[in-house]
Amino acid sequence: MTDAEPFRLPPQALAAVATGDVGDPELALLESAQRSRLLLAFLTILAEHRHPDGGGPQGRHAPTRPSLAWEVLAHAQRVSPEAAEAVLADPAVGAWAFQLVRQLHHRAAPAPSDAPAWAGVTLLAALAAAAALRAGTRATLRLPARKGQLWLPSLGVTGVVSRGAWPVVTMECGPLGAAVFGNSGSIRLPRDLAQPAEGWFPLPRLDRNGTAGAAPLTLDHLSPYRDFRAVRDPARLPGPALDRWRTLLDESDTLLCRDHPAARRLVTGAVRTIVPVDGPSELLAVSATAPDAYGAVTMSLPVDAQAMAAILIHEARHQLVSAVAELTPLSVPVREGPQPAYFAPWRRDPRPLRGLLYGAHAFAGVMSFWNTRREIDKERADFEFALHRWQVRTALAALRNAPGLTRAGGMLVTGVLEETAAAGAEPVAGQPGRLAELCCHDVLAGWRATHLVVDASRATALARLWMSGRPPPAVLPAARLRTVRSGAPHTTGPEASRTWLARLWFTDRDAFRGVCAQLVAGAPHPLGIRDATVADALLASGETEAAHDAYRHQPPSLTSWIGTALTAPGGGGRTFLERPELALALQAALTGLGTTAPGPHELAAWLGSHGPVGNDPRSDAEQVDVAVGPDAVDRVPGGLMLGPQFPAE
Amino acid sequence: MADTVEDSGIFRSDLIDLSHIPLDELGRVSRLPSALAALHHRLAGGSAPLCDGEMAALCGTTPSAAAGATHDS
Repeated sequence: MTDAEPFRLPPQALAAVATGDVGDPELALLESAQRSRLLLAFLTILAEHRHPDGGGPQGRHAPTRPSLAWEVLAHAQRVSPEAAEAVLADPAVGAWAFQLVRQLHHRAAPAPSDAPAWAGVTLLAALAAAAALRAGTRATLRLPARKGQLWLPSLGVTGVVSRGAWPVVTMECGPLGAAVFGNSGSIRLPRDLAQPAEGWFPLPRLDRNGTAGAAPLTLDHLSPYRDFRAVRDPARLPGPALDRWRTLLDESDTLLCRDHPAARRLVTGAVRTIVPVDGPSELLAVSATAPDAYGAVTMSLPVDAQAMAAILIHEARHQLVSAVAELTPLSVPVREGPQPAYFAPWRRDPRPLRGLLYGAHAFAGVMSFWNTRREIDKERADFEFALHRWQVRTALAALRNAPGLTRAGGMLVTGVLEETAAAGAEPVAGQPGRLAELCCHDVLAGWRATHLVVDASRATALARLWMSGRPPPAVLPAARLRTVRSGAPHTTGPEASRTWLARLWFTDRDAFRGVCAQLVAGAPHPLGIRDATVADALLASGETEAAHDAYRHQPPSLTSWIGTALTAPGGGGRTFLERPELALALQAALTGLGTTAPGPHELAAWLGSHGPVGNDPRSDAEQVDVAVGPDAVDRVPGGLMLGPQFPAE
Repeated sequence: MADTVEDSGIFRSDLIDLSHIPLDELGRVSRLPSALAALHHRLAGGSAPLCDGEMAALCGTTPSAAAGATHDS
């Protein structure tokens, strides 16, 4: 019996993760934990493999048994430990293994694109094949190849050598070379597996060598398990696109080395593979991290090096916290009733505690990144910093009072609090600060109007007051999260088109003008910005009066009401922006009583006519923590959690 | 997974360190049954991608059309 000790996570390591200022010891600990977790998944596959669907080739056509593949892998490790480690370090291996364990052990339903069970388990031979190739050991393996293309983890994929969805092909390797045989062809693999050859497609490598040290990176557009959303065919990555990836990754690495050394350590330590995918546009670059694939970031090409660096910091932080959560829980599972849901300022739908915590931590890194760049990137950095600081502070207001965090989760929040405090509280001056503030009000108002509901009887009582010509009550009715059917997703709120236009205004003025021209011409989603209008573009460019006029001429809609309020002279739209759900509930109640209701702004003005509540200079709406509790209308008295909230900038 | 904190403030995990154990000896390590049980328990809870299963811009302000898994941040 070999002794294996439990991992221990020192509080200093957790504190380092919390602030994103990690060093080699923390990165090594998390990497090691992920590797051990992967090995446990392998053991599960070896113990539980079977052919529940009864499928798969039999007899001499059968694939290599997992136990035999495991022996080949172990032999390769004995000959060359580095060879086995390189294979295990491929994030796509984790994506394959953990999903397979869910299917084998938990009977998780496979996705339509998943391999049949027999092929899933015998793909262990692909790891053995790749390790044998790397180690130079002799091996003969029969293994499933999706659509006839053999995946060799950490190395690449072959061309098609066999017909069918998951045919079994043969790979032979030894001192004299390696070849893959199928029922429709064969391929001799090149000696240097990093180089492309006929029938061989290696994973592209980027050997970045910044001043802070080497930072090798793989661009995985080939592996079937690279994309957490589905098993994929290899995707084309044409030369110009590959060059663009290389350029942006090199430039962002240079930028991080020069101006953000801690963030560079974080990114190079936590991200070793980029999975390129398509996004709406370079402005609206998409990105995601899947805990099953530690080290991989799925993303589309962003607009420039700064955007690339910000995305990598964001996703690298997700990687770290995911790895920590495998060592110690960050929150306590909700055992009964619905999960509490919160306003996450970066999302249009209510989020669970996990999402709020992970998002706040990731955006704190992005906030710090742009804070550091304010002297360099001027207005663009000012805008991004102001926007992200508000996001993080708003999330922290909820996290500080959130039930369900463990001690480790609380330490993570403390780290984010410290990082945010270090960023200061001074308002950002000038147009970037003003525009960021408008975007924050916009996002919050859209979320409230979409997801919060006012009790119908209280809205009706308000309506009767209004009809009688009396003032509103001093304390306005609270709101609570709209109920959705158990398990059903919440509806999403309005698109953040105004935020994207503002971002573009500070990033690329020529591109902004191009978008304006397209909007005037009636283009629906220029640069991927959905539902934007000419009025939104006027607002983003600082033409507030013209924007206000344009909004007032738009057909009634939530976005036009919010736009009108955002641009109202003298802050006249403030009450509507604070309580849009109440103004709309009052309007609906009046209509229900058979009255011709005025517009929501007029009703909001009436609601705000009593002035500030009590002696507090802020309205009751401002005091409402928009972190909303459990989303069951009848289970939580009051519906909203009340608590301190940072004022918006 | 239990939240286990030692007197020193160190968080003790139920994940075991397999760093220096050869692959062909993995099946003979101590604490394996409990470590496997812990892994299975966590995997049963799912492992939602972060940012957005619909592949949205940084944690999800503008979803694109692609379908995907649930997402958590």
